[in-house]
Amino acid sequence: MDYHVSVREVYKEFHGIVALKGVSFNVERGGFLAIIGPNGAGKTTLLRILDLLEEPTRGEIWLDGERVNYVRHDLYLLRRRIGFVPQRPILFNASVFDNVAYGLRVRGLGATEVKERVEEALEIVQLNGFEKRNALKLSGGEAQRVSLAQALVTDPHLLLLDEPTVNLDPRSTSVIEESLIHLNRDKKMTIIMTSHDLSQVENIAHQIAILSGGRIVDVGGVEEMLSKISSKVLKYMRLENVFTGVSTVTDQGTSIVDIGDGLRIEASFMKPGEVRIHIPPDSITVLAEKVKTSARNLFEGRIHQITDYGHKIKLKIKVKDGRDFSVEITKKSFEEMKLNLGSNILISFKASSVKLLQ
Amino acid sequence: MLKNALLAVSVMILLAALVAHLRSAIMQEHIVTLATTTSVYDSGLLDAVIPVFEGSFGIGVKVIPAGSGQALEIAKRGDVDLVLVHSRDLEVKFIKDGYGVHRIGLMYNDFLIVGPCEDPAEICGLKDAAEALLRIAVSGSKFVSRADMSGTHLLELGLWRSINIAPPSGFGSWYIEANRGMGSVLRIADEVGAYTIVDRATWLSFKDQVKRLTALVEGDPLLLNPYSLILVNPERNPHVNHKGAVTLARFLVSEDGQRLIENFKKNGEVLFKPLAQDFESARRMGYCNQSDEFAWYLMQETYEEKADSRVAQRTFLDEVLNITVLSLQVSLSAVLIGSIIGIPVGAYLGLKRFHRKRMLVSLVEVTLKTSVNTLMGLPPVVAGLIVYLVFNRFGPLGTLSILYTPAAMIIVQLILVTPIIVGVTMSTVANVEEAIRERALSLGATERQAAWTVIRESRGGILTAIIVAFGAAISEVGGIMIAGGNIRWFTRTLTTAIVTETELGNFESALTLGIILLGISFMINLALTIIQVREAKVRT
Repeated sequence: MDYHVSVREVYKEFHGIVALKGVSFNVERGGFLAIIGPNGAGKTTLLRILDLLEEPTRGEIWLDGERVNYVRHDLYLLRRRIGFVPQRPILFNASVFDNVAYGLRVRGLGATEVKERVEEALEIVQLNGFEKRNALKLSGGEAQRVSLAQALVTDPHLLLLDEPTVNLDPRSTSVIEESLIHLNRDKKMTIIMTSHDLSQVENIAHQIAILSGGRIVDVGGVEEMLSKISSKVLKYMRLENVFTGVSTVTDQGTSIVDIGDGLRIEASFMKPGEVRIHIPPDSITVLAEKVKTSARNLFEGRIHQITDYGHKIKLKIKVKDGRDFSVEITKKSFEEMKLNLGSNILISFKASSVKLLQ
Repeated sequence: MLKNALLAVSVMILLAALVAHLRSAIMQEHIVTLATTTSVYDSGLLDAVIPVFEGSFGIGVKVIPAGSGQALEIAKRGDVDLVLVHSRDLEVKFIKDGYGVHRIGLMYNDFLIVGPCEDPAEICGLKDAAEALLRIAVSGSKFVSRADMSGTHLLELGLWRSINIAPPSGFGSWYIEANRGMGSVLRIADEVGAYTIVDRATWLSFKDQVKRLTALVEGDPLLLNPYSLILVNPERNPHVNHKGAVTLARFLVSEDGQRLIENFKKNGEVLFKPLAQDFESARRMGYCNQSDEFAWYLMQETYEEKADSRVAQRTFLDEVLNITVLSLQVSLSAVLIGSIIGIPVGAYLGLKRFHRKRMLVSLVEVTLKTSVNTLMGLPPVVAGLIVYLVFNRFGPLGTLSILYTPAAMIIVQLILVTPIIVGVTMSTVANVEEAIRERALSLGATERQAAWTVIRESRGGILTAIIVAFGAAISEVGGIMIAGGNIRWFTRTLTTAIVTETELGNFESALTLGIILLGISFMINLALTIIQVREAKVRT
């Protein structure tokens, strides 16, 4: 198979400590793999190996159908096809422009082309106008976006990101998420990122690999993986709108899950008995008044928390005095609906939006 | 852009200054170098006489102050063209060994024995110097000796020998060995209430500053103090400026020269009596061939006296300016060259290479790093000594003739600042290194480009290294004193001038120079602080 990235039985040992114990997986061209796992699982080590900054103790890395040979002196030529965004941005003491231009300049590009492409990259991460600012005086979120711009400005075939949104402000988080979706979908860039945030992963990745104790415990498509995620994994994942309840299969081939407090949620799967379900926050819509909707689930609730993420708003909604639902809506609709703290509203979501967790 | 332009301009200025130094070092023919005993130097006589000579002949004179013994040692190696000393035995030996020629008595004064007004040894009014010393020794009264092989010291030793006393040295003894110049010795004697032997010129200059001391014994013929001029033998040291030396010597023994000496007064008192043409007195003081030597000088070919001779009047302000500019030139040149050498070396040592180096290479590295760290603590006087040993006439690079020039001082400071620049650059680069280098590689840089990026990111620390080095250079004194010779108008810097002025008791001038030095240091530290604050703000 012609995979873009192929990791084969990779071991990595540091001073007697084994960080990776036989990791294997493949990523197709244009794929988007999210690697999730607890701290110390070896995620960062794996990414550094993929960026050719570390050599595996054992095992092979194949890029573009070619085995990486670590003895060669022009490793940088291979590295130039890869973009890497480290967890904490490491920027040069120079302007934002010069930081982003770095990768182009070391490749010997002319000034006009450099300027054009830097502007383009800054546009993607929404930092146009920041060109002359000193990169070391930016906020954490802005710095991380510069770091992303540094990596993507060279149009790499493969983009690696190490927890790109951890500890970032909501606006920077969404800018980065949108950039990744754009790069993957429109520019067909292969992306491998590590993450803690399952709700982020399920929105943007195609594939999920679970790395634990230096091993890939499972790998598969997002839908498939989410349904398999064990409660053990959930402990270190941030996942909202997770409920447990008793499910009854209906005649229409759906299930009704009673999660208590009189809340019955219709889901499109067919599984009776005790289940754990998850409703992604951005699959829930908010309605100001009762309207006709095809969505099978419709509940009354009251807004008790509003978080402004820039162009996205996160609402916490208390349904029937008990259950909290997290809902994400665009700023535009938030403003159009003139929502306020304490507003009484309706939330609705499709039966197919209800995910079954294990 | 502006910053780069400024940098380029300052680099050019520095290079120009450096070239000027080297040129003045090479233009030896118009400079005569005279080593003189400190007592003459400190009296200020030469400041009254030399400018007249320089103005009349268009020849510059470099004067190196040293004790008589030391001055003759310097002359033996041919590092000066002629000497003005006062130590008969050493002079005779110097000539007998073939180092010097045409010794002639130039002038004389006399020594006095001075001591505390209470006079515990009861020597006041004695006409016999040896008797006076005997009484001092017997009474166990304190006595301060120059102990520096100067003419004064040698005379003192001769007196002790004549009464068969070897003064006990060591801690707690009544016999105090100062190893210092005359001025300092007088001040020590004043502080501790001791006797000492002093030449009349220095005594007249200093007696107002040492109020507890009084002149007790004078008039003994043994205390006469003649000063001789001796030319360095041109056959032995062919590179000396013999013609220039003859020109200066003939001027000094001429009617004009002798009149200038006679007219030189301090507080209305004559310090030196002319001797060159007083053949009778000269003979009594041991100059057997005075008239022949005088005739010899008259017959020599010398440089022409210029018709429109005008003596340039140089004020104290001129001198302070000269000293300050020279200090800055020397230290900036040293730091500039040190940076050109030290920054690449420090960066190289600070960088860790991706691929492991072979055993031998890492061994060399360890040795280099250790040496750098050791040399960072090199005492300035040792640096001065090294330069002296290498560049004196008999040293391996003696032919370059740069001892006692600003170039020698630049080399001393270079030896001192380069390890500082290497060391600080090394540690800064090593600190910045790992993350930045990796980031550069990750963004597609080659190893070489990544290394360059690391160095660029270390620029704050490298700038600190340069400023620290400059601070060390400008405040250094011991090394440039040895290698530069502290020659007035030529190699005298702020620090060496402060030492000299303090020795001479000119505390006001010393303080003025000290304030200028302090001002420069303040500016340096201000710059350093601003950089550090800015870097700290940026990094956190």
